Amino acid sequence: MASNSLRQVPILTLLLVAGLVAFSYVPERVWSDINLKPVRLFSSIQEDTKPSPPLSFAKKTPSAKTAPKVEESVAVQKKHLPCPNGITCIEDYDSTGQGLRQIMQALSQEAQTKPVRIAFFGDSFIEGDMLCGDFRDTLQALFGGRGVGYVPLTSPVANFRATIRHQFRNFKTYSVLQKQQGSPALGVSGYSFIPEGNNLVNYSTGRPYGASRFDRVRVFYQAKQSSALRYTLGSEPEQADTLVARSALAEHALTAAGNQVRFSFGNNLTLYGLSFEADHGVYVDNFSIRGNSGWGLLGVSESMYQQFNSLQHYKLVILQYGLNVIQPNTTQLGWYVPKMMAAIERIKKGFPEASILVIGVSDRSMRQADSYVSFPSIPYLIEAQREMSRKTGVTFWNLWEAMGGEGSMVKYVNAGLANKDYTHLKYAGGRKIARLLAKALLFEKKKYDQNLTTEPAAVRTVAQRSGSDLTRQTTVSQHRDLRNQRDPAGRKPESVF
Amino acid sequence: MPPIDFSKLTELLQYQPEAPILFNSGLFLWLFLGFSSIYVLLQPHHRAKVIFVTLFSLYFYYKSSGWYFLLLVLATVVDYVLGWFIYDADQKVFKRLWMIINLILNLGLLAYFKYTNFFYQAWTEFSHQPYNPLPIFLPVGVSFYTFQSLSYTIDIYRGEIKPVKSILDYAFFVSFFPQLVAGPIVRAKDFIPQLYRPTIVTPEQFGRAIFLIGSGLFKKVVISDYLSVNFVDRIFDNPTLYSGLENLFGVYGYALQIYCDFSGYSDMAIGIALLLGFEYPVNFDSPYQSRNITEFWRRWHISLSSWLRDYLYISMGGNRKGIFRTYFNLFMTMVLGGLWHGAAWRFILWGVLHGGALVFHRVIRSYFSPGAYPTYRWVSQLLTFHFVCFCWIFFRADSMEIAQQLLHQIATEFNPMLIVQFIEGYQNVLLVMLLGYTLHFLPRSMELQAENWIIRLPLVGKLAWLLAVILLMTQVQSAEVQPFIYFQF
Repeated sequence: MASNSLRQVPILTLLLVAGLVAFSYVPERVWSDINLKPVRLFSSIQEDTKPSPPLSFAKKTPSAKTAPKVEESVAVQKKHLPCPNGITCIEDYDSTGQGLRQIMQALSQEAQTKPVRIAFFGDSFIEGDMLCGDFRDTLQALFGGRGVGYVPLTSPVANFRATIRHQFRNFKTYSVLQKQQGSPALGVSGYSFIPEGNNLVNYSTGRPYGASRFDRVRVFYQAKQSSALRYTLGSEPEQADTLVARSALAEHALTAAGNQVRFSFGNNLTLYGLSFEADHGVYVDNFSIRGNSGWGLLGVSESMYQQFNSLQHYKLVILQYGLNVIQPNTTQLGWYVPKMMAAIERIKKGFPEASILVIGVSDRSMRQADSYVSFPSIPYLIEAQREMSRKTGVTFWNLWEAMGGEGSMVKYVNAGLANKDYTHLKYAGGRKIARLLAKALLFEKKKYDQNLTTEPAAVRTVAQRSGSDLTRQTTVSQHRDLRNQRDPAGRKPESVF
Repeated sequence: MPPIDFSKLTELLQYQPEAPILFNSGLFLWLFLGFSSIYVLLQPHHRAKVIFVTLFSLYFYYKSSGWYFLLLVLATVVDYVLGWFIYDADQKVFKRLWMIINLILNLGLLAYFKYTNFFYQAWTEFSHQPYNPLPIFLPVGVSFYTFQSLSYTIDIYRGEIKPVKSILDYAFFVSFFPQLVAGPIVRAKDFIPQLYRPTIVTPEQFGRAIFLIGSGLFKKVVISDYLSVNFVDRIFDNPTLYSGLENLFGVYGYALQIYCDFSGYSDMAIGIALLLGFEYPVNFDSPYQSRNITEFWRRWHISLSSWLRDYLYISMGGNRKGIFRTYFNLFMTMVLGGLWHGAAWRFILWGVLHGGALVFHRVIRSYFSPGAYPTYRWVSQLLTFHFVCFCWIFFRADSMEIAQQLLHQIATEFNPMLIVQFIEGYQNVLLVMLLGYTLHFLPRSMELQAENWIIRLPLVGKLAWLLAVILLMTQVQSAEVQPFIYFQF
């Protein structure tokens, strides 16, 4: 039996365990000195050592939902309608406590007779009409409307977008993210397009998402001299038309009932996009740009926003940003608040008829040892986003809380609702969030219709926070931190989305 | 180091649906330390060894499937009893009757757990009714141990083996934990004789086991898991977000991922069994080196393909019933083999493609004998590899729509000029792929050299090899996820 190595099996296993236990005792500092990640044999059975987040950032961040008791002692309680379970309520920082009145009024009084438009600005989180498309469908089911609203001339995600089929060729694209010398004025979506020879753009409906037809198409353009336009509706013969010269942004409407339309444009023209719509109902225009941290909004002039608004009359502007700002452990976001406040102010001036809703950053996870955890910085960014909403007096919706807060992205991924990058949604996840958002908005509408209000969130959160001295102190000092801090390196964070 | 949380420890030792026990987990290492120590002490006593290993295997199964381990116990008792009934029946008709009952029970079990919802969904689609999946839990490894016990009863029926005397020995065979949940599929006639031999692990076997466990870990964690998280999954999640170039590399990445995942886990299973004195045949033999599809199936998941050949293809008549029946049998074997991999039309299509290709190759071969035309070896390897990759698209895509999108992107949005940006952006992913494919295409002799080198190492050297692999594994596991890069296209 001299050649039997069986006894060496437990010996080698023991040595292996001993070696790994020894590794577990090597301090983290030593590992990082040799540029390696620590080896932990016990990580799954050790007590948690992760410090708990600041109290004000605990899972239930201040919102109408957690408010009731303190509030009742404050003021105007007769009109109060508490936030129901299952809804993450919109926080209203408007000084009148009616930050959403423009959109509510329009939904109640105008949607039956004319288009009510919502501008949905955001980053790659909503690109391909993710979330935005289902949000539109939900509202159109309730308030009418047919068509996907604004669509740019070209798009890097045209194949990905499921709500309209979109093919194009021979357009030169200018974007707010890639500034170029001599580029034409950028449109509301952050893009403008110059048609080149033999250009063609084709739009058709008919995928499982979105409306199966539209009633009219409006082309947005700028032309110093009149320019030819040729279009084909479905299988009908091609028709010629003219885009009339105008000094400012102009629109050209075509009655184009159907499910497919094809255009080719002449020269001397700057194009922006087209709107697919009917004569009434709700339209959610998706203005997403991947990699946009939010201040891309400042790349479009105030006058362009106003010109666009004079044609579109937006009643609600939604701003969904944050994924391109957030780094796993950034807690210092003081530099972010003033920058975004400038962007919000420009939007306010550009869209004077609109309510403004800031959507907080979504959950995003990173790898830690052999599992995924939410970025620890998320509550800090949300607090910064709440801060900028409060200071500009607009409304705010805590998407992170609506998703389920800490660890929710992992649950989304496991349920097939989000991608394996632990950042972006799949359509099913987009649908889920769209419904959560619509629910929150409809709850506000219910309050508006019944002439009920909660007191302004500005009052409420202070009152609520005064419920706990500790909480209040943390929050206040946090705000002070946010004001005083600047991006330490003074550089723009890496942006990949 | 933070103190141990005993409630977490207790939880960890219980059934956790989201955390089946894997050979590459820390928990398995701890359990194996205790297990192997006792095993060494008990192994001279046959009965004690058998009971101990069976209990450990059942615990192993409980950890992955909870109370469904009772199903394994039940299946064991039923197959053992029926094995004897088949053997003892003195008339052919009774043998056949017991065999049919055995097939109904085993395949019925498999069909219930694996295919009920599939057929139910197909029926609701056909009859335009709403589909709400029935809450059926798929016990881990049910496909593997059903095939393993079928090989036992069919061999008895064919008179190739005698039934096992002791039910405990039979339970040992069915539940033996190294191959229980993910194969290889071990035959009773190869395995059971080893149970009655003294437990001997030669130094060569010991060294080979350590080599296989180390390289299995490397393949599974360093290559397969890394590629999956950092590249392949995102492509197959949303093909239309990426250029055709990225999609094509996504397919190459998946081909490597599935090979490394499956063969790496098999290698670990073979290595662990070897450490306990049981020798299994090779399960994967560098399959992408194959020059034609027939050869591919001789080198890919050999224990499954040979099972399908011996028990399905031959049972259907094999090549004994004329040329067309041969083709049909070959084709159907692959279609059913496809369905065995998962209950979805995509797997059936995958089986159809492979079955069709095997028939095609057989037809070609009957007209042109090998060597009739001079071909470059690498040309046929390249063609075979790409055909296999093409089939993998349907195997991996979550739906037929995703598969179509992926093919559409490759065909119409290829964007070859992205190559430089792509290489820059995905450096690590491409390096891992390059390493994986290079290792795969190395000649067998080099693999044997490496194996011999590990065999000759002293115990400390073997320890160092395993520690090095585990260290590398933890580095890769805790590495930051490769950020998404969207190229403008």
